[in-house]
Amino acid sequence: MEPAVWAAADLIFTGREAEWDRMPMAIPLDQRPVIQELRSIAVVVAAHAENQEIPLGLGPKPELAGGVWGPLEIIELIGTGAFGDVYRAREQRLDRQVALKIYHPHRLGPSLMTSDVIEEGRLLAKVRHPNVVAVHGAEHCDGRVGIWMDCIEGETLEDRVNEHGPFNAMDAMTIGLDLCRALTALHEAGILHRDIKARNVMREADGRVILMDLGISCEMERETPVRQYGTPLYAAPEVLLAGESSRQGDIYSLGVLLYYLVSGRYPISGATLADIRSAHAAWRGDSLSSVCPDLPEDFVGIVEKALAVSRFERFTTAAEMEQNLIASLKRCGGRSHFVHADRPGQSQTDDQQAQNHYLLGRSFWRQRAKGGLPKALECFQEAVARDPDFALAYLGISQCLTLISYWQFMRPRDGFAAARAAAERALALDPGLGEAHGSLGCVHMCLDWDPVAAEREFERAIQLDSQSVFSGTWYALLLSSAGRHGDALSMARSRRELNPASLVIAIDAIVLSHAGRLEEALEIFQLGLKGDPESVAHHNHMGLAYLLAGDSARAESCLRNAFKFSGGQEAWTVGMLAMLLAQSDRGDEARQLIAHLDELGTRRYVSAFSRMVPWIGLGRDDKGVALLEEAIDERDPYLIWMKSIGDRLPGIMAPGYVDCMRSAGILGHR
Amino acid sequence: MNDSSESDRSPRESTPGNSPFDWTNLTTCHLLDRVQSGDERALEEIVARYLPRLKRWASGRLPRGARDVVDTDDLVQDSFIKVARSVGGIRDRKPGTFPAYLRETVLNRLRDEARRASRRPGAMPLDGTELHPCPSPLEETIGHELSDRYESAFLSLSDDDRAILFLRIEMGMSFTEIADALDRPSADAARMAVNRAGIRLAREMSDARQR
Repeated sequence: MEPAVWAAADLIFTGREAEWDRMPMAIPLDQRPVIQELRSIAVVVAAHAENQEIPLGLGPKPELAGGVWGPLEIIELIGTGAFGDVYRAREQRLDRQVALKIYHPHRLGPSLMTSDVIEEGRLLAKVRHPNVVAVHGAEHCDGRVGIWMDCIEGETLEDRVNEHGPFNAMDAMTIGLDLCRALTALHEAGILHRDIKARNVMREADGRVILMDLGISCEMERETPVRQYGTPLYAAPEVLLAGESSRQGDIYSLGVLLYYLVSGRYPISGATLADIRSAHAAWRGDSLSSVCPDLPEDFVGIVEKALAVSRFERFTTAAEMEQNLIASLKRCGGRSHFVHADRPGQSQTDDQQAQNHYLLGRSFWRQRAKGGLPKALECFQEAVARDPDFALAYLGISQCLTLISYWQFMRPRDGFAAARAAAERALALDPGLGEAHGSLGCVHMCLDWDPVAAEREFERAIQLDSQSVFSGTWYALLLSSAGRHGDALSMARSRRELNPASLVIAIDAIVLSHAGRLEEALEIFQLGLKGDPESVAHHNHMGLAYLLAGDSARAESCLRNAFKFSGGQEAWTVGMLAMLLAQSDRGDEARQLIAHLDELGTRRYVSAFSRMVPWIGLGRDDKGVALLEEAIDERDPYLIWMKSIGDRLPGIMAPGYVDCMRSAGILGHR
Repeated sequence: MNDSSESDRSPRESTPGNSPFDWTNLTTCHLLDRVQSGDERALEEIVARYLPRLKRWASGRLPRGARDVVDTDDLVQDSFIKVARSVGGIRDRKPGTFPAYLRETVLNRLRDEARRASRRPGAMPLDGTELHPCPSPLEETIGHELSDRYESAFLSLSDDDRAILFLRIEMGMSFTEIADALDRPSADAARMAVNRAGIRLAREMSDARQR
């Protein structure tokens, strides 16, 4: 769906047509007639509203009219529930949309105190995981207590089942994998979810599954549960009968969810709470194998183990359940609808094993973490080994390789070249794969140093798949490296809106720091660190941001944090820290780090760029320039930034380096 | 769209202690099932949810000249109850069937009555088109051209799309009420479905203009 069209429809049908002028101006030509007709429809909407004598839009509730609650600007009410109202709101400082849940005052009392909600928000804000909705804060303002989190666009699993019927086992298993990881993240943070159900799980357009509504979660150690249970149909027997919450209670609910996904039914049903309790007491349930006899035995076994009456017979941890699902997914046959949904047409495979490997690869890929990439790559490679004409799997390989190369797990020249071959193969099989163009754009940018070709590919990628976070993120980096900061920021922010979890990457903050907007960048990085105080990437990026702003002391402090949290294993961190130390007359410490880099290089790939920067600090241009030539030969991706930020990196624009970069075409003159 | 209609009740909220036989907590689909089995209390609940707005909607569709001679309220109420009773019996009924069928039925009755009124002595003359004996307040506001284009594109949509757009655009229901009426799991899901249907409507209008 074209974002401009969607935005126009949303303005009209939420009664905000007056904000029309805030619509993005860059509307593709082919979408303009549709937007024009939406404006005609707005006239009809207004006429009917006048006839109904009602104000347009669901709007904020009267008590929040005026539009501001704490740090948030209220946009509109988007839902009401038993515990409170949910508003679409905007964090003004970060210009970011969030969902704000305001509790009904009458719901707060001895069993749920304002301080409980604030405490809960504080706790949840510590959890940052791609499969868990990110909570950003909780406050008590104007007599109301509220908690705000990412605003996720997608459909709930309940929606999906209602509209398309039950899922098949393969799809349910991949969803189960993501939810096991979500639960593991919560449980490791000491939090129970306690309301896992199909309506509380969203699926985004790119397939990411997100566990939502953490509103009734609680700390494991809390003596008195805040509330007893979530939805009775999903509650474990011990929760319903004795009010005992535990990790196994969440695992049981996940079992019910998987049961529901494949059957559209519940293992224990009843019209009233009393019915459900007595069904549990008498164990009047329907086994999954009797309801859906054709499901893979492995899968049925996993669901039934999760649903064991005794919590001691269930999986001990969500991670254990995840491992069982992975093993089962590899063994089982069956066709996934997700592959079709992702990309109907010639991209698919008829080989069930290839498809399973692909699904598993996507599941690792969606973790958006460095550790997941090699596993994802391996799965995609296994998929193409099974089916050499499986376009989506080639795309997966190419995407993994672009990131692996950019993050320097391997020599970039080799990685980007392999990424190009995989992307080209994917496009030969299916020319409509937008993200394969995104991958090629990245290769043109980082390997060919051809920004014109790169931009052409990114434009094509966005044209084919306007919602792609992958293509848009790379495009934002290209624009930023070319010094087109405004365009870069628009693109980065649009990707953030599409995928709030991209805080993991914080692309908008990177763009801001390159644009010299330090304060705004730091605010976003700090937000990311709230969720993961030990994020090496965030400390590194903050270090670079301070360095670009000329604050060497703070830059050093950030890089020292990155060094500590990476255990000294990140070559880029070591190199940059050594450079800073050398530039502040601590040459001995710098030399120790150089030795550390050399040692690191005996075990794994260490980029020439990382080895070069300490020598810049030490003023040894002979060694520095030689390593720069090596970095150029390796196609180190950091070199693409030199044109836009090189003059703010102390020492790198000395004549020897400039000549070398200029002759390589990095600074624009070949 | 009516703020005052928002209640603390979430659609199909199944929080502990809510009896499923509390009519105010049942979805439209469940109420229709109960109407079919002769439950008058369910009929009252569904009438309370829809009728006031349906009457206002109908009054906007009736030509001004016909208002004096047609009792809109009776006509709408009569049609509404007939539809509610008959739709409940349709096998494999989708959530959108009721609103879509309701709109069509009431609109047909209004047109019949308007035609009938125009034939009475002293009534306003017909302008030659069946569809526009004389303009309704709605047509006066938006004009014949847009009204016709909207209506003809609207009729080409699926039952579900017509239902959701009818409830949002024409009846002015909130997303929460739409979620309840059409068995959507949340107000936000309803909002997204409205957007999708609205975009399909706009595409139909755009395609029709190019044909």
